[in-house]
Amino acid sequence: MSFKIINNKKGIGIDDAVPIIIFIFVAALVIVFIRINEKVKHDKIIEDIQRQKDALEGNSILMSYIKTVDEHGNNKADFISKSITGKNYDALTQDIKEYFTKKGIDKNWYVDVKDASNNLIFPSISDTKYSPQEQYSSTQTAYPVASVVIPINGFEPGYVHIELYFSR
Amino acid sequence: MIKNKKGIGLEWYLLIVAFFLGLGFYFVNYFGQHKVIENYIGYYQLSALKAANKAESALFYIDQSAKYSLSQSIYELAQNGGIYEIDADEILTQEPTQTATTSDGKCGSYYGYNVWYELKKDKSGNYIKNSCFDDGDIKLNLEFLLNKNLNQYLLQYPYNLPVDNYVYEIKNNLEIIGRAIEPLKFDILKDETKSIAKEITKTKDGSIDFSGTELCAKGVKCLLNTDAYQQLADAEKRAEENGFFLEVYSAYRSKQNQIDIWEGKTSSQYKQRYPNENIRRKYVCYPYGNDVEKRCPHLTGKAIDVRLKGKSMIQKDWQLLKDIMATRDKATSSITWVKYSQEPWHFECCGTDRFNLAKAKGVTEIA
Repeated sequence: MSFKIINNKKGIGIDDAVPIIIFIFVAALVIVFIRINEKVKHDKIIEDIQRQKDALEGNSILMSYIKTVDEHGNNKADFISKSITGKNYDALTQDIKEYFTKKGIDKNWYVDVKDASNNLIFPSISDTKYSPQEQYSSTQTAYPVASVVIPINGFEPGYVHIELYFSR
Repeated sequence: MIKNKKGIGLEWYLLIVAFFLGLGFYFVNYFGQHKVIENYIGYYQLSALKAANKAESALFYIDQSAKYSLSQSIYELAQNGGIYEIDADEILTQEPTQTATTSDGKCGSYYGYNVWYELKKDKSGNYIKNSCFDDGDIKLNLEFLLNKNLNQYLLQYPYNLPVDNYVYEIKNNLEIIGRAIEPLKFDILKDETKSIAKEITKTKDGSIDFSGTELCAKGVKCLLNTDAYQQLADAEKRAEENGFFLEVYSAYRSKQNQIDIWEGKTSSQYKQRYPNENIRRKYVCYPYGNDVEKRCPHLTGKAIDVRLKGKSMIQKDWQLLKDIMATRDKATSSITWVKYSQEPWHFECCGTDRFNLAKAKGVTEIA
């Protein structure tokens, strides 16, 4: 008796394929997890670097503002001190707004003037595109970029904080 | 074919095992202790630039404060005819000794105005003009006042700036150069946006070091005897109950500190201002001799100069401070601190001579 088997294909059954399927699935999951993790880390670093860069830029803008000297030899810090003691907030608000708008900052910004107890002396000064409320109720996040402390020339020594914030 | 079992080759099992071993190894390394630096290239450089920004801001604050302090000092000095009567109330590092209100004017004052010149008749009846005013004194007085006013600003600054840190040089008319004794220091990597309140520590000799805490003025080294610190902490609780905070600006002083003050090595320049030792003793405690600790209570670590934080310390504030500090303990009725009547900022406790004398008399204020 003789017979011949033709086209016999070697193969594995479905039960044999299960470990391979699981293997591939788990491997894919692990790779995705690692990639996401790396991406988040990377984005965080980029964001951090960007903020540090903004901080340098913001500080430069803020310091150049308060060091601006007028024709009488008084700098902006003198003007701020005088405006605060004289409660002449409108002129100060206008001056800050004009200066920062002229600087052409490519981000949304706002400036807070706070007293020694960290309370706002008058409402935040922002660029004309958004009010601070609009900026921060949305998905945009504001972050401090620069701050300077200015002494107040008054009966009692005091100081105010000028804080510059950017938002994206 | 009997008991024919389908299966995969051994190499597959080994591969799967190897994979899971690799995965396990990765996670152990990922979550375990590893030498991953939590920053990026350029992090330290950016942090250094950030610290430089802070320094720039602080230097600007100091320059601006000096400008205001100078104009204020000139005004105050001019008000008093160029002579500054020491009001130890305004001196941060002065040792309380006697009342310090004697005029520096050599010819005294006339209806409240300091005399610049006096005319005296000699034996032959001729008038002789006598100058009572030394230009050198004006410079010293101006430096002293400037330093005092500048200190007020520096103490206000939200970060630590050292006080009494400048040696002044007056050039030409009114160009004043202040040379820093100690450099300003800024941490590059410390996150100063978080509040860094130091904790109290105990020194080797058992004293309490509370420098850098809320109770101690910025830029000041605050050391006290253990009992005195406890009394101070209790006083702080009483102050907080009344909605105030205490701020100690002078506590323990070493003998060497006292000698430095006496010898004019501090910005107060007592030796330069008062070359005559007998006059100087009115303002500074004499730091030599075996009984120095008895005469100079700050050397015991049981005396403090204190004020209410953020207050201008006008008359009513001093009264409030006294009510908080020099009171009797509610539980034991014992005296807590004793106020030195000549100086509203100076309090002693825990067995100093002045404290014992007040206790014997049953008073909380003593001369």
